[in-house]
Order: sequence, then structure tokens, then C-alpha cells
Amino acid sequence: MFLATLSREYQRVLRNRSSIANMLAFFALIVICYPLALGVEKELLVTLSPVALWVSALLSLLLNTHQLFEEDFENGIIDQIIVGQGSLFWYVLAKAVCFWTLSGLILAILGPLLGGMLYLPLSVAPVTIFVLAVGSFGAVMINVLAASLTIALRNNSILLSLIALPLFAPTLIFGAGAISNAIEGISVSVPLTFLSALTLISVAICPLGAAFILRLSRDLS
Amino acid sequence: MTWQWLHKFGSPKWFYEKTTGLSRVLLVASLIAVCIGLVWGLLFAPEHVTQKHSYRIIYIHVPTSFLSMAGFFFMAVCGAIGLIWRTKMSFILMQVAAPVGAVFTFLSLFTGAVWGKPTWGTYWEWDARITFQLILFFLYLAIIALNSAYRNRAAADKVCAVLAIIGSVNIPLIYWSVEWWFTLHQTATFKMSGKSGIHASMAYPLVWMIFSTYALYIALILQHARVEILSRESMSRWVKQLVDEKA
Repeated sequence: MFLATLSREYQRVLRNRSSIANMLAFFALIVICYPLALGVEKELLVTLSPVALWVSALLSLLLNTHQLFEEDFENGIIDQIIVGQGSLFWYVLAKAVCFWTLSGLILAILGPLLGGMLYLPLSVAPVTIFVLAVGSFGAVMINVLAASLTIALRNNSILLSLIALPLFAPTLIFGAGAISNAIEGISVSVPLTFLSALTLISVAICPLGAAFILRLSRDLS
Repeated sequence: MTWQWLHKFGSPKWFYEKTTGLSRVLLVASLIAVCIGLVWGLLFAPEHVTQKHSYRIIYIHVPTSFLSMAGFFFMAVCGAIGLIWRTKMSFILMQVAAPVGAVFTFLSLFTGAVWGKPTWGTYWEWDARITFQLILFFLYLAIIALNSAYRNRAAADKVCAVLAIIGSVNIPLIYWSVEWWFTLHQTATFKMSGKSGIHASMAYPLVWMIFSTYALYIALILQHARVEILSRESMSRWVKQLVDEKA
């Protein structure tokens, strides 16, 4: 179930590459907004760069989320899985993993590059990549949950953000905290441990909740 | 057989009939109790040595903060009961708890800001506890929004229940945030057990206020739940009979 969904999902998304390109452009544009608004004071930009990266990354992750289950919900694939006794949990997890590799992971790799434009020192690049990758994986799980909660609604993207953004808050705090610590040369282990714990909790809870809601929405609509 | 009481309690009709007298009495009693507590705390409790009169807002701040968290926990528990045993009543209680809880959370934030100005010199500070309390407020709003977005009642109930359960992860974060990140908000000076950091003459009105605010919360939930029952069951025979009797 997991592998089948995964390969199908990659095919589906890769056929429509423009959505990924749009998301990356969106990410870059938000990051660029910071120096435009703040001016070019180097000190200020360095201290703000973790925040800029995280806020931009989380907002970009929200961008394509509402399409995550939309198509499958409407053309009956989710019905087929339920009827065929397939596991919706693995289906959701595969969707999330695919979504993450084509969004969160790319954002994480691009993070130091765009961070460099905000004078983020090159020495913290490994930490930045790692933190963005781990944190965005947890954020994608939250996205998956929010997408399933709003699946049966029309024009759901605003409500989806309204649900996901408060749940992002701990990720944002520890994620930005880790990069800031790295810039100042303090140990990153404490925020990184909390961030990893958050991601693990999200991986444990959110796909289960999302699978439950998908089944429910199908039954009720 | 042992679970029969749960299903009996889960029936809206039974709930409505049993709480008719109780809810009114509780509402009046709790309102009187809150007024007594306010007068006691705001006028008669002794003045604080360093904070002068400004500390008196504790009599509103602490009870509302307690209830903002307890209310979310209550919603999560109701949601879980509803999802597991499919009782109608628990979803009704959960849904009506959302706006009430949101108001208490707002009051807690607002009184905190008013209290913060004379004592900390700032209305707002991005301290861990305050921030998580704000997030709690937004979670309440998210549940209210999600509830109103769904046309289908059954779908709205279950979806909100899941969000309430997952959102309740925030509650321990708020509760322990003052011990984990010591930034600005003090740890609790008032404790139920052990040595309390607050003098008895100040503590008694606080305990009074906490209990009476809990009572007020329960009374408000009951009142709202009764209205919600009537609106949801408006097609059923017993509600129509009730309306006919009144008319």
C-alpha cells in the first residue's frame, strides 16, 4: 500500500512540476521580502535569518496542501481504498512522505542558499539543512491532518491555514531557536531534541487522525 | 449493562429534562458567588506590599486562566467520548464549550495584559506561557471556524473532536512552560498542597473565586448546551411538544 501510493503519487506530482516551481518561487519571494522591508543592515539580517527562513518555509508548505487529497477524494480513489480494505494510514503516510520530499526537503536544501542572501554564515549550513528537513517533516504531518479536516469543504484553503498555523508554533520556536543557537555558536542539542520530539509526535498522531477523518468524510458526504 | 448509564446520559432528551431546574439554580448561584468573590477580592482582601492594589486582578486572572485550559481539556475528553461511544450529548457539550472557552481565554489574556503593565512595565511580552496561551486562543477560534464551516452536523462534530484531541497537546505545554522556560511569567505561588506562597487572607478569596468561576463555567455550558439541544432536536417530537406547551 505504502509503496504503491508512493510511486503513483510521485508520478502524479512530477507530471505537474509547475506547482513545485511555484512553491519554490513563493519561498524565495517571502525570504526576499525581509531585506526589502528591513533594509540592508547586516547584523539585523543575520539575527533575523532563521526566522525569515522558517516563516517562509512554513508558509510555502501550506501553499499546495489543500490539493493533497482533493483529487483522490473527488475521483473516488479513497473510496476504492476503503472498499478494498486497504490501509488508509499507509496511504496517508505515503502521501505525506512524497509531499515532504518534493517540498520540505527541497526547501531545506535551498535554505542555506537563501540564508546566504541574508548573510547567514556558511558554517551553519549543515545545521540549517538538518533542522529545516526535520522540522518540515513534522509540519507536513500537521498539514496532512489539516488537509483531511477540511477535505469536505469548498474553498478550504483559508480554514486549513487557520488550523495548521497555531499547530506550527512549537516547530517554529524550536526550529528558529536551533538555527539562532548555531549562529551564536551555542550548542544546538536542546532545541534540536525538542524539534525531533515534536516531529516524532506528529508522525505518530497526525496520519492516524487524518486516515480516520478521511474515512469519516467519505462516509458522511 | 454497566454502560447503560452512559447512553442514558448521552441522550439529549434525558439531559434536557434533568438539567431544567439545575441549570437555572446553578447559574444564579454561581453568579452570586462570583459577585461575592469579586467584592471580597477587589475590596476587602488586604493590600499587597509591593504591588499595592494592582495585584487584585489575580482574582480574575487566575480563575479564567485555569478554566481556559480546563475547558480545552474538557472539550478533548468530550470529543474522545463522542468518537468512541458515539453519544450525541458529548458532541453537544464539546461544541458549546468552544465559544465559552474562547471567552475565558480572552479574559485571561486581557487581564494578564492589564496586570502586566503596572508590575512588569509591559502589556505584552513574548514569554513562553503567554505565547502558548495565545496559541490556545487561536485553537479555540479554529475549532469554532471549523464547526461553522461544515453544513453536515455529524461531520462537523467528529472533525472538531479530532482537532480538539490533537490540540490538547498544547495544554501540558502551557502548564509546564513556566518551569521549562523561565522567562517572565512567574511560577504558581498558589498551590493546593504543600506550602503556599500566598497569605491566607489573600488565598481564601482566590480559592472562592476559582470554585465559583468553575461553577459559572459549568452553568454557562449547561445553558448553552440546552439551547443547542433544542436547536438540534427541533425536528423531534418531544421538542415540538415542549414548544406547544410553552405557547
